Amino acid sequence: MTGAERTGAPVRPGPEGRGGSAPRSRTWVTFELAGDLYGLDVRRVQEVLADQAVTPVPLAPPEVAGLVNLRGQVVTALELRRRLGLPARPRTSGAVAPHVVVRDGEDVVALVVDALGDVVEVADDDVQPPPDTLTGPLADLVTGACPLPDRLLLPLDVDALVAPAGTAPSRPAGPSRTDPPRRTRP
Amino acid sequence: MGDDLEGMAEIVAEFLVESAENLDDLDAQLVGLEADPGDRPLLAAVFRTVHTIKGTSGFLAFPDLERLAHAGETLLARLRDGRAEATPTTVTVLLHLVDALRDLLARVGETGSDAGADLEGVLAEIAAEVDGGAAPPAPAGLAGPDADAEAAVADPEDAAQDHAAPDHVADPDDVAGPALGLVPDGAGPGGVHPDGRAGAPDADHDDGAPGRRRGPEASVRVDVDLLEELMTLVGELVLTRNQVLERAAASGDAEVVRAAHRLDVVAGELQRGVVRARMQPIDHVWSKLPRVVRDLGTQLGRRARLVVDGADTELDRTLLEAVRDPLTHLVRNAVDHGLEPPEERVAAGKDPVGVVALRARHEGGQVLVEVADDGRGMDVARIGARALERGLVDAPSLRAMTAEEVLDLVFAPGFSTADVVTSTSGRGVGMDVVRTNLERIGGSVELETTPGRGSTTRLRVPLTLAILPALLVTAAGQRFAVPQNGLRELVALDAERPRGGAERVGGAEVLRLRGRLLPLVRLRTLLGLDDRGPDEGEAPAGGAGVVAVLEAAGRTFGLVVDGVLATQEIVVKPLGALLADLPAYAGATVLGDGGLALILDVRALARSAREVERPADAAGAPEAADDGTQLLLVRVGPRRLALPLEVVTRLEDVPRAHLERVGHRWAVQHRGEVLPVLDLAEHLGEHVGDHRVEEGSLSLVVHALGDRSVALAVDEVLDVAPAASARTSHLGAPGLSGSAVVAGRIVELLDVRQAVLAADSTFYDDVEERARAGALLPPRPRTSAEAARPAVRGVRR
Repeated sequence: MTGAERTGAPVRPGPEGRGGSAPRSRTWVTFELAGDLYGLDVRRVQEVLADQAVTPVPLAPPEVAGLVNLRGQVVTALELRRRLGLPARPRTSGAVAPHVVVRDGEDVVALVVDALGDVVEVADDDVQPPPDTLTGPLADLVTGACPLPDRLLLPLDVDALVAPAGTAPSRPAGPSRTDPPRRTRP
Repeated sequence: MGDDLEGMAEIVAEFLVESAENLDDLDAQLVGLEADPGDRPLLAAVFRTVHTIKGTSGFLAFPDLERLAHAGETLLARLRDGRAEATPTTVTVLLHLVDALRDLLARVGETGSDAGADLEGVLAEIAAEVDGGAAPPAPAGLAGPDADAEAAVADPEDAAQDHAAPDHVADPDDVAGPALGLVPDGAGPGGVHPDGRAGAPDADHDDGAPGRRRGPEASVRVDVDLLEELMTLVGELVLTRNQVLERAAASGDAEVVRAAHRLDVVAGELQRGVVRARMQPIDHVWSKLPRVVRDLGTQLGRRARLVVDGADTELDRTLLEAVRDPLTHLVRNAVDHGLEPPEERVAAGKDPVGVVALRARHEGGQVLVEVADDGRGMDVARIGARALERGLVDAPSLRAMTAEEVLDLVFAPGFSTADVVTSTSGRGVGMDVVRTNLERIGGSVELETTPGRGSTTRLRVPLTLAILPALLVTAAGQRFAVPQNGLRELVALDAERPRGGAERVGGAEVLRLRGRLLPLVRLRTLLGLDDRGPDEGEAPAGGAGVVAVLEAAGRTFGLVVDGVLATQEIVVKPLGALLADLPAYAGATVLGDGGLALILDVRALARSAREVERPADAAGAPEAADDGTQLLLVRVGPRRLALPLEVVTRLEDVPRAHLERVGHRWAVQHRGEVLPVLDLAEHLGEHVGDHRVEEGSLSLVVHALGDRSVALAVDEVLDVAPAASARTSHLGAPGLSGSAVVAGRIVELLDVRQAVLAADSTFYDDVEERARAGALLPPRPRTSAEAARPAVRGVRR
């Protein structure tokens, strides 16, 4: 149950994050996926959810985990590991995967992650170009690399993340690209 | 002051909206005037509308608009004063005036000014009509012969109404206000008799009649977006109510239960109220149609009269929009294809003026809208011929079709009976689109025709879209909602029998339901919920499942689900962009327990059902002809034969001992009737046996047409398979029409017509003679009541 205390934590944007007086830094909501730390721009994050019943959607693209009921609103949940071409989450006992809910225009999408991290502020000067060793979907979705004191934060491009397959900016076909043809017939 | 400018822009915007509505009414009024040139109240109404536009455009400084309206008013004044009669030419000129006014208003809306349009043509037309319209002077004019446009305000009716509320006049805003605030008063049927609309206030007269607006409490304009928002909120409330009711019942607290019931009642009332607030009378759509009929009639040399009934029938405004185009299309069809030219009508003993009737009424929680004509009706033989020509059907299938099935072909994509492609019809997209549009909103279309007497098209439209009744079903432990409009019945599968009593013929599963073969699709299979192969994809634990018989996209099929939970009113929520291209779902809904259910799109399921029926056979020809032809494979002695599934009405098994000799033919008694039987083995020269002394049973393939049936006796029914592309190759053998490759093997195609004639040489006579004579084919009699019905119907939902 590691990180269970943190999953329900409200997202508090840093005062600088929305002030605008210091545009030289950005605030990221961080979370873990397969041992790495990723971040989403706090301005696009609506909320985080601890435990959600996910209704599966048969025939949906593999990265779609299903639908969640967000106070009466039907929201698509995206399995972020699959979206990023990472190995599937091991089915460990009792661990609930938290959701990071992001806004995409009118639409709202829930991203299923391994565990939530802190909300961190990073000066723009500290953001480096993404490592060019990234392959597959990651290469297109990771927008940079921010060395934090203890580890590396990889910011993600929200728009590209939630774009339906086919409308996303072209990405080179990698070995781990998660875009198999949809099963239309058993 | 900036406020003034803003206020002005608002006044102009309101003026545009009002005027556009008034002009729409004018169309109908002018057509009504043509029918009854002496209708003075109608003339007065037309006059007032044009006069109002003139007055207001003068006030708002749109000189061209004013000039045009003034010219029209001059012509109308002559008519109103009885100095001229409203001839068809006059009406045409006035309709042109309406068009020109509409164009100018559109110009104002786009550019903010009315300058730059070419008005000379229509002005000259009007002037010519004013000069040429020499007519007797008014016997008892409302105004003197010299009365000019302003006489309108002296109209006694106006004056009386104007005096009813003679207040605030001085302020310019107020003077403009009444002119702009003319609330259309729900014009009567066809908009032909608007009740004295709107006194026209002139800036220089003090009769600015603001009282016309019947007080702000009587009606208000509400922004459409606000209505949508309210509807969404009511949807949420309905869902919350469902949840509260469920929990209150479980709580056992009497106080909570009482409060929950009160919430239930209030939410229900509120839902009905908001639904009603979104309702508009169907007249909003109909009011354009008199002119459509008139213009098209004039253009095509038809004389037509539009009669309407139930113009005040209300339905949801989004649905109203959805039926606008289908209705226009159907009315055009009625005038173009339905009504005969006048001389033909006279020859047939009919009134030279054809009638196109629009009727609307509420029926069983739906709105029924009919478009009927008293024209020549639809010629089933000609429809069949056209469908054949267009390649929508092949000859054997066509021969096997009942009249209603043939009639139904007009809904097929690419069908058009118009001999020439004209601007009005013949593009081959008509009825197909009508049906698609109606099904998209959960409605249906039916067609009924009586040759020589006319046709009626019936549209069934749901009252509202946002909240719909649905059946909750389960498959593989998950809940799904099936909208009830496509649902015909529920049939429980028999848990005692293998596969629940369903039969497998080749790749397809079918259920015998009252003598008909119902193709089945399993929801688990369709959604890939079953990792086991489709062959084992049967009985979930505890039962054989339930078949929901659904009808959509022109076909009936059975959807096999694990169980049925309840019927419930659900609120449709759209799926996000990531799931938008999944055809299987129409959305999702929140259930009473907070869980979610996907709403199945029955039309899409119908299409998938077709695919499942024809699985690509890995071993066989992957190039199966994609024309939808399915073959029934049978065994006759050592031979494998195929016949088109379309000709098969039903399959029967009978003991051989039941066959009886009638002359040199066979027959069997079936349901009290004698059914001629052709022994295919005998027919194809395999062997001549005497069934009466043989053991075992025979399979009968029954082919019915009209009220006649024959049965083809085979040893065994093997399979149903898609026809492969090679089926046209001819072997030249007697009794066969060719061969086909099915699953990698050659099968012989039976010449069904020849076989049927061998069983009953007069089988097709009745039907074909009548079809040639253009008379109607009787529907296949299922019940005596149906058989006695005079008209042919094709039903499509």
